[in-house]
Amino acid sequence: MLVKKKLFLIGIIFFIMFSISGIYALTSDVINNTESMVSTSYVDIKLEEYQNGESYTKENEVVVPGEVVPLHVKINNLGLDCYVRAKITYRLNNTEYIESNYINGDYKNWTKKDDYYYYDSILNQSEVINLFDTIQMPDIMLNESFGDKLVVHILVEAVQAKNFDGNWYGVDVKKAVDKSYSMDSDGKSEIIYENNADKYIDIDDGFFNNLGGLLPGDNIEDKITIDNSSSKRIKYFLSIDKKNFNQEEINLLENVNITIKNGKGEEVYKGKLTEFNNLFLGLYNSGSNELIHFIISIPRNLDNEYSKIVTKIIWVFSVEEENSSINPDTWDLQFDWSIVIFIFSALGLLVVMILEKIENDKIVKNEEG
Amino acid sequence: MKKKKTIFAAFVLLLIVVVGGAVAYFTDVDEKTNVFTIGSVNITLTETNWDTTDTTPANGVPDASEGLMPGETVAKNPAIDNESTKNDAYVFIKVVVPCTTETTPQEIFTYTINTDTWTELTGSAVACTSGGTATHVYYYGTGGTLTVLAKASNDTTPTSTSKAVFDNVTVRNTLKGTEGLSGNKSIVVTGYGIQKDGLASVVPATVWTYFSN
Repeated sequence: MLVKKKLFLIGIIFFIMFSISGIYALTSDVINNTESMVSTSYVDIKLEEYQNGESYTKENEVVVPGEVVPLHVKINNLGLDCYVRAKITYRLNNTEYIESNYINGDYKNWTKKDDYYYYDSILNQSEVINLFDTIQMPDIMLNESFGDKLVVHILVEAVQAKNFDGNWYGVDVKKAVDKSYSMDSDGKSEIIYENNADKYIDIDDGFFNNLGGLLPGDNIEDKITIDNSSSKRIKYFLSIDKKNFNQEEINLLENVNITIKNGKGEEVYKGKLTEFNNLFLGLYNSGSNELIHFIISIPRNLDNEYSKIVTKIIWVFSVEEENSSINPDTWDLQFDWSIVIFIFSALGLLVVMILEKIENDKIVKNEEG
Repeated sequence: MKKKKTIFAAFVLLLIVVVGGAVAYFTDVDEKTNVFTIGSVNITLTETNWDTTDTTPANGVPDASEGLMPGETVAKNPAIDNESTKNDAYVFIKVVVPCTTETTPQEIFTYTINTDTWTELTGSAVACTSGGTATHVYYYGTGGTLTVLAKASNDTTPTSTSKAVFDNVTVRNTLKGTEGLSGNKSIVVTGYGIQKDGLASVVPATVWTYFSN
């Protein structure tokens, strides 16, 4: 009886021990966990018309030949810095006239080339510029055009200023994506260190903390320092936590490229951000101190479909002693070991309890007999 | 060999086009379409008291105004009908009068403006030239303010008529036989109308420029 009780007590102790160790294995490796948002920016302009200080909303305004209609047309930049160009067509009964004879404005900051007026400077965020101020009706013979329709069409196109090479030819200008978005994201990344990796990696002021408002053509660089202060050789690994991404985020991240080079300039990895897992960064001797360079590239061929996306990148750094018995290939595998131990502990406790129950039943029967 | 080069060049060109076409950026586009309607006004000049009977002789000149003598008066009351059912209008009348052949020529016909409704436009008159004409422009209104000639209210009331600019014309009685009065002399009266709405200015002289320029 005493033996059984001892066994029962030992079972409980083991259960508690392994349970705690299992939980510990789940949490102890997360060293740094900060809120972070990575985002892509957007281009957003608005064409605005005013007359006598008020928004111009008239339709089919009746005019007379030769009349000069005050119409102040402005471009308001609601997005990031961009280049703009405007095309104005002037048609009377489907006959196109040379608009410059009838559209009057201050064009000192614009350059006319072919069909377009090009604004000479970058249109900065929140800046409003003037396109023109008046439209003059054709000075045509009276009575001949009474009742005719004069159509003035204004088209304004904008393209991101950053990374734009100035060549509008071939640029597929599309309407901005219509969804709410804040430009305030500073683009901090989140880092998780596994197996006390933070003791062997030196990262100054965070890692990729400037991934806010990304644009096609962007190349963002950062680095870490391998600092093997242990007495053994250590393997370094990097993963991206891909959990909890929605389809939009996946679409974006699948188009983001990363290049990783070690301190000797050797390419460790070059490819999609999402296509590596537990990437081996290198094996470093005790006392090693070496930079590893990272370059994130946003391809130039991304269009508005990839704008206004907010996501989160969680960098998972892990280390492993060279001859460790634990396969550090995945953090998940360590977790599985803990689960296995936990399950065996639970089973052991169950067996003890069953044996205890059988023993008790025998004692009761013997007493009844 | 030349063919291979051509194929290679075409391939390179294709590659450039494909690669060039792949360039995309974040962009935006906005557009506005402004439609203006050229106003319509439909006016006619009427002279309800002008007797057009032409029988004795039937020579193209109305009998009542044929063979007039100096000092003689004939009924002539030009006015304007606004037949537009959409637009009120401002109206003008231009009168071109023949002149004598004197060294200091005079207008052969005189008339008295109905100044309660019509006013001669300052600065618009063109003085007589010897054997030529003199021109006068009158706006429908007084004191520098144009009077609106209302649109016709509907199809059954198809016009809205101004008052006459004058009611009669008189052959000047100071004329002498040597001043070249032989032949027919015509007074040319022309009516002008412009929609009231949408005008940047309603100053008579400014509105008249739509017709005079």
